[in-house]
Amino acid sequence: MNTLLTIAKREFRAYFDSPLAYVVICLSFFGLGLMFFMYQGGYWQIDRATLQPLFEYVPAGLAMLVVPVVTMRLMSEERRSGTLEMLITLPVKDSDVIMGKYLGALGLVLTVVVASLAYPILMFKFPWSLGPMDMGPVLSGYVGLLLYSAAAVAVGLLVSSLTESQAVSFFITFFVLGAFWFSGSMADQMDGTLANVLHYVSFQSRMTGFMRGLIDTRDVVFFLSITVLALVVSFRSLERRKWA
Amino acid sequence: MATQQDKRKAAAQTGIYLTVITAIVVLANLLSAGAYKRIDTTSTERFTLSQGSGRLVRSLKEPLQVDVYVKTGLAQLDAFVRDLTDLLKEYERNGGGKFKYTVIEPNTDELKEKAKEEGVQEQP
Repeated sequence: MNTLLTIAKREFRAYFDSPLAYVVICLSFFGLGLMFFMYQGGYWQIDRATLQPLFEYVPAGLAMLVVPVVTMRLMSEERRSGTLEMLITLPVKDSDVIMGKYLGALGLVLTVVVASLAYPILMFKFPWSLGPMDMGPVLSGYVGLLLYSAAAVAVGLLVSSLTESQAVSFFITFFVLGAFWFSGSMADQMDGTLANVLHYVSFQSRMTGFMRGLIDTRDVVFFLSITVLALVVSFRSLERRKWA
Repeated sequence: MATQQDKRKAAAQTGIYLTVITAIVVLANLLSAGAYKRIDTTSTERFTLSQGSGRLVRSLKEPLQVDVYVKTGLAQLDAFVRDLTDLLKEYERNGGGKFKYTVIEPNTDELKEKAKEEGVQEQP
């Protein structure tokens, strides 16, 4: 357990030792602010006290850019520079390596998510009070974001563990998370079994409930399943050296 | 060095392990689809039908089809349409297959004509 936390801490700090963390956080917030206040008239046009747009843009942004950027180097870099061998010959368990790196990356992604709490607090509590805000949907929205980030980072780690190239890792994660996100809107254009399947696996469809204020146990189980599955597979892909 | 046999054994182990985990995950999802719970966090309980409406829609004897004519494109209207759709979904969920709804955006002449026939007045 201790080694796990050491690795997690090291990973998390490594982001802040390079410009990566600062660039990711600053640009995410610039983009988020632009989308939230400007896109199609933005928040002002809806004319009610809601943060629903926030929960629509944050996961999309996370899926498209933040998660792939944050997770691309996790395993790829170690594999390419040859430090992976060193890491796994050290007296640490493979599961500690995977979980440590996972938690480190999730830490940075959750930093972005938690920092976005500034929106509801600044807009509806202090110093501005833009209307009576129903805090229920905000709470459930953040529960959804938490689960979603957990799943997305696990997918990113999995992809990173399969390739030596950071660029390849970035683009595959970008594509996979994008596909999982937009499969919901794609399903709206179709009908039949395929549409149902696409809806079932779509991160966007799964997030809709959370962002409107509805916590459904099915969605919770779905996100947790994706997380567990991706982590287990990346753990096994590290073990692959034993037989491949 | 690992022998060929060791390698094969490790690969087989991984295969079995992954199959078992996948099976557990699929099972968990199937179970949760059967027995789920929805927690409505909104202060006005937007996702919960009132007792009266719930009883009414559950006791439907004949199929009921609701056509909703909407106009979208403005953020304010879109938010309203979303809320309306949420509510209709709730009715559908409680209606046991008897309650069906269609959201129609009359953007062709044909649909506009149909909307007029059904007594919907065009809004500027």
